[in-house]
Amino acid sequence: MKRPKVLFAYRHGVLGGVATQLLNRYAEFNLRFDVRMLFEKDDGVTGRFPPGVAHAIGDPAERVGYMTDLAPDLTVIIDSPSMLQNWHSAGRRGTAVLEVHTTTANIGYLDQMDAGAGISGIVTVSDYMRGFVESTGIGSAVPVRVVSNCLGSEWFVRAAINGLQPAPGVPVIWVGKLDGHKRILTALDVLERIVVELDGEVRVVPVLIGGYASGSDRVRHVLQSAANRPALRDRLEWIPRVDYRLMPSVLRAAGRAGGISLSATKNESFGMSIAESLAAGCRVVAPRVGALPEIVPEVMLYPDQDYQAAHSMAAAMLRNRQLHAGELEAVSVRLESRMAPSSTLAQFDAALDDFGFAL
Amino acid sequence: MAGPTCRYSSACSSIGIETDRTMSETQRAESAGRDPRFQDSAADGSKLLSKLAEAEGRAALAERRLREIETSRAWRVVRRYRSARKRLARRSVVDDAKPNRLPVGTKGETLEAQVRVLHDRMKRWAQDSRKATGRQVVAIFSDAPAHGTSGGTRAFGLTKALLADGCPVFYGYFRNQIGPLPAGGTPELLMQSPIDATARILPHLLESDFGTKDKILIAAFPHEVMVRYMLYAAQNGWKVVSDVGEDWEEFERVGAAPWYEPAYERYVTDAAHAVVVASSGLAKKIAATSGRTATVVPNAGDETFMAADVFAGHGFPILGYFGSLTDRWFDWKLLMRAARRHTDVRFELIGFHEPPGVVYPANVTYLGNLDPTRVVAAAARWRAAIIPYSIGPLVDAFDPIIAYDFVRLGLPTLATHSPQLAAFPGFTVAESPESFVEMIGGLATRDRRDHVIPDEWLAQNTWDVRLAQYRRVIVDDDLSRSMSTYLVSEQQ
Repeated sequence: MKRPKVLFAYRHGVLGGVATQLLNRYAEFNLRFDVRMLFEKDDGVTGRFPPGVAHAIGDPAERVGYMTDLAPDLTVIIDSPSMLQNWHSAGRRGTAVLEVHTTTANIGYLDQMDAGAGISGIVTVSDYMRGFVESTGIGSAVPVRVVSNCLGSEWFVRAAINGLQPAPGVPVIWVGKLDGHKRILTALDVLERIVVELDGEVRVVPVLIGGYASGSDRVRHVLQSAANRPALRDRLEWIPRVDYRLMPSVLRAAGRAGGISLSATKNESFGMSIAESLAAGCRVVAPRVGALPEIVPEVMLYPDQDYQAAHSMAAAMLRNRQLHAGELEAVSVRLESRMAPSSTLAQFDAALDDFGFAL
Repeated sequence: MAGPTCRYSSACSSIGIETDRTMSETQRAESAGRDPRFQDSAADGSKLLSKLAEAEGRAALAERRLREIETSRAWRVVRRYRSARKRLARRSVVDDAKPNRLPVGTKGETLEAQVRVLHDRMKRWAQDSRKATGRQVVAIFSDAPAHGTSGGTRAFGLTKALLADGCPVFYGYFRNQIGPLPAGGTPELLMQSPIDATARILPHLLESDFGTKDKILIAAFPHEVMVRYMLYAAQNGWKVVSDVGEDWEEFERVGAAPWYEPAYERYVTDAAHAVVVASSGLAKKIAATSGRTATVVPNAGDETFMAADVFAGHGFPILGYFGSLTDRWFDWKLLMRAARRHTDVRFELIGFHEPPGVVYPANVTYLGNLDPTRVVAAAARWRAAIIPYSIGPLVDAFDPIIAYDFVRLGLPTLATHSPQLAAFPGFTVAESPESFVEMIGGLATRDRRDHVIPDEWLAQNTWDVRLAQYRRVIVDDDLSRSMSTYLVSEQQ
């Protein structure tokens, strides 16, 4: 039987965030649908899909031509108003659904849309985001459903790690872009306090992961800021980019060493980096913001911007590597069920049913 | 090449004496003796000499006053202010570049077009590299381009040795503004890429498959692109070396390293698998600032430079220099002092970055930026070479490639104080500017034919030998760093 043709359209062809989700779900979704990916610009993602699956087309007219020729049964447009325009210009072929991941000011495009946009429904990644989207212009006019982000089974492997040397210290991992949304400067403050408090007791190794695409000013500021903190200067490790395929090992090693993941983020539509830490067996210290309470155990959440609480929570976990081990195991099992690609596919199918069409 | 009109020629013209710069002094004297116009030349000569003495006296006074100003507190404050202003002005240009601290092009689409060209070239180069005979593939990142370089650079010296050994080289170089790309495929297995475009294709390079070849990334300058990608290189199996050829902090202080940030240098030094430096001075600085032990692999000379069989100098002594003439480290005041003190010595300069507006005395000639063949021909006439660099921390770290070239050309050399140079065969190092000027006299009277070029030294100081030294450092298995713990993929 011929599989329905589904096109996922997203502006940014850069690995991380949305594009990583598309990669994670591809194999499972391709069993059910004939999947294609369209980006406006390729910064390394198209080569990660099998040949012919993903395309990056910078010229709007060419994108319209591609959509016209492909004639997908369903086009899923992810936080990319320009791609919605392209779909309109291509004659609104098939059905279109919006997929919303962003929590930032970029979500304003939903307010500017009306029912005439031709959208059949909106999917988003968490209950938190559903409430957020339903409060916007278009969100009040079309149904909104939750389709969870997904993680491959490799994240949940509990096998012993061979060939990995123990770290010379207990890591505190921070993952993200070096920006104000993730509150990197605040995170440096908290990291510094943790290192100082535990000095002589636990050798804390702060590790920043991410930021290879950040602007020069930000890179310079963060490096200089770290250098100006005596406790961090000779201890902090910054890895601007880690191949996503290595991240399970990185976080698993951190967890086994008794380490934690620290977050100071302003908001999260889902909290993928936190979910990844939990899945890999690394405890987290995260703020109670956005969708994080949906995935993080209560004992690992601190009130937003209460950095004293964050610091105390982190210090307690670093002193006792068994603290909250039970909660960690339980949430990992829950996440494995919720975030399995097959589960995401089932949620996606259910959403399409709710939108009134079946593929 | 005729130089600018000098005071000597002008003075002679004013009293009716024609000068011919190709005549030797002996010939001129003989010619003057036979010419009836020179009956009154003795009186005119005295007038000229006393004018010269007067001018020298004023020059000496001006120099003293200049020294007083330069050492005054007010000047030091103003200089720091001006230096800071210059840095701010530079930064406001480069910070306008998005997203990284990279050169601003006149047209964004030109960079995009170049990125596309380079991406295609890189894919072809990677394919060709897999078939190359050498056992390594090297990506080297330098502050200077390989093509069109006037004079050798450390990075390009290593590059040539690698290419000669069948090892493909990706050569990334700094540029401050967008310009034409170097020709592709020349020579074969060398790919050159300006740093701004390189930032866009580097992930693809680092992820490329090079078969069983060892992959080496040499960060020969601590640029921001290195900070962003060196650990990603390590994840993809590259051995990463921080190669420190200069004291970059001092380079930045004199305005020669617009890309420099102390935090970047610290990061690159800390994050590399190994640190290699050009001089013992740099090794000490690395140890003091980062605690890392650096291996000294010095520079080497250009093997196209060989001493001529016959000394072609004239009766009067000529002392020569070739290389960078930038006033950032070439001490022009010192040279002029030496020239004024030793009017019986001629000084010849060859090179690039001559500052604008230099007024040459009669016995100093700038020959231009000559190709190596003409450099060798000029050097065959020199009694000796000089390296009049500004004494200070910048020069303390130097291991100047021209020093190796001077040895190869058989030139005894007088240099201002530099810890590395004292050990070079035929080199004399002056502790101070004053002693440099004093020692010019002795240098100029040396018979170059007495100078022996040590064959063993020549054999030990080539880029091939340096490459072998480099390989001993970077193929050492014990290059682990703590963070490599997180970059190892899980093994079953």
